[in-house]
Amino acid sequence: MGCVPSTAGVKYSPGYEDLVKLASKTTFTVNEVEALYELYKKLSCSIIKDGLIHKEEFQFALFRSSNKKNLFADRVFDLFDIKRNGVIDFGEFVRSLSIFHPNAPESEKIAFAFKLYDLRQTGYIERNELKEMVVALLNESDLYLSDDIVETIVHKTFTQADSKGDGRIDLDEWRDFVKQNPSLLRNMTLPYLKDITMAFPSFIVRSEAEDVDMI
Amino acid sequence: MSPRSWTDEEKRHGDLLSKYLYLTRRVDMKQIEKTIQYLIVSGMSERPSDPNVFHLISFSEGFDLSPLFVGGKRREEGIWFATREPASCVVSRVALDTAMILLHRASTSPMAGSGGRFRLRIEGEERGRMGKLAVATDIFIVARRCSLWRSGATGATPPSSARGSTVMRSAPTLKDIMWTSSSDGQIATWIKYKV
Repeated sequence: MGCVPSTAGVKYSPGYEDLVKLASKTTFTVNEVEALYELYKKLSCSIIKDGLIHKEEFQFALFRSSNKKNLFADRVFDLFDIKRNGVIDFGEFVRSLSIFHPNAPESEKIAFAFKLYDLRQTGYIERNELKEMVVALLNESDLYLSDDIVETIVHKTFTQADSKGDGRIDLDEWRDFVKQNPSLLRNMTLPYLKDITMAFPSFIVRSEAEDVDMI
Repeated sequence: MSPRSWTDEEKRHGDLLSKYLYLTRRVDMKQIEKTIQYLIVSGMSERPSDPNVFHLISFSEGFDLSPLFVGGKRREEGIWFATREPASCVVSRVALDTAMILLHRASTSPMAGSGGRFRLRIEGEERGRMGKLAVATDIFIVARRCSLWRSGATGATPPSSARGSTVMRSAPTLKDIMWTSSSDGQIATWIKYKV
């Protein structure tokens, strides 16, 4: 790998964490964590060659553009960045992806989704945050709905979810809401993770081609 | 694109398309009609309920992390549009458009073979809540032997043949139909589909 230094034949990127330890703490096997490490090395050196995933590299990996603005991708990045130091290291990468595994506990997915939608991290999903997300989705899809319609649908969902009627959705209300509407968690599962070691042969071929020894 | 009804011209286009497909007899219109009915009914088997905006939000491409794993190509491309047309109109229109596109593809594909008369049949298939629907198409090509495979989101499956004729399957999908009512009582329909 271009930016990962070679030490006694073993290459570690600065964001590295012990694979076996990581596997034991997540839904991944050691082999899968190894495969994720290969992926991580590539992602973390795509723009800023320091072995850590920066926001631009994340955006580039998702959208093939390092400065595409997307509210939800930003939220995902922020949540992956558990230590809140502006970069995703390997441990954070694996731990966060683990939540998207089909076998991950639903409670983890529910909690993660809640934090995702709590845009300003107040511990609650406020109505204006919900509207902001709807508007963002519409903009992203080049879809126009009048403000009336947007207000109406936000209102409907919000009042359904806010069972305590206090003007904001807390984690308990969210949990109940998800139990009634399980499809809300559809974006919290990545089927690809079930079989990572087989999932990206094209990627493996490419990384071999790019592999350059640094002496 | 604002939520609006189809113009007269768009309606005429739909009629013309339907007539063309019928007259060429290269498309099994009876099957398409059946499919459209089936799609509508199965879609409506979920009571048209209030739209849940969290469900809508979950479709953002910002959540689709699949490009991390499949080399940059987004797994799902979809087109959203909002319309005032009732779902039945949109479904039938999408089915006809799909038939047209696939007909064109099949007739220009190298597999069409000599004297390639073929018939297009669209099958409906229900999947999931909120009226998730898939339109799978079979193109029966009466031609030289050719390899056939079914492509889907999970990759290719081994070849199969049916009753001596060759079968090629491509799977355009009508992903989601969601019903909602706007404040003035009109029906606005969101549809995401890809071909």
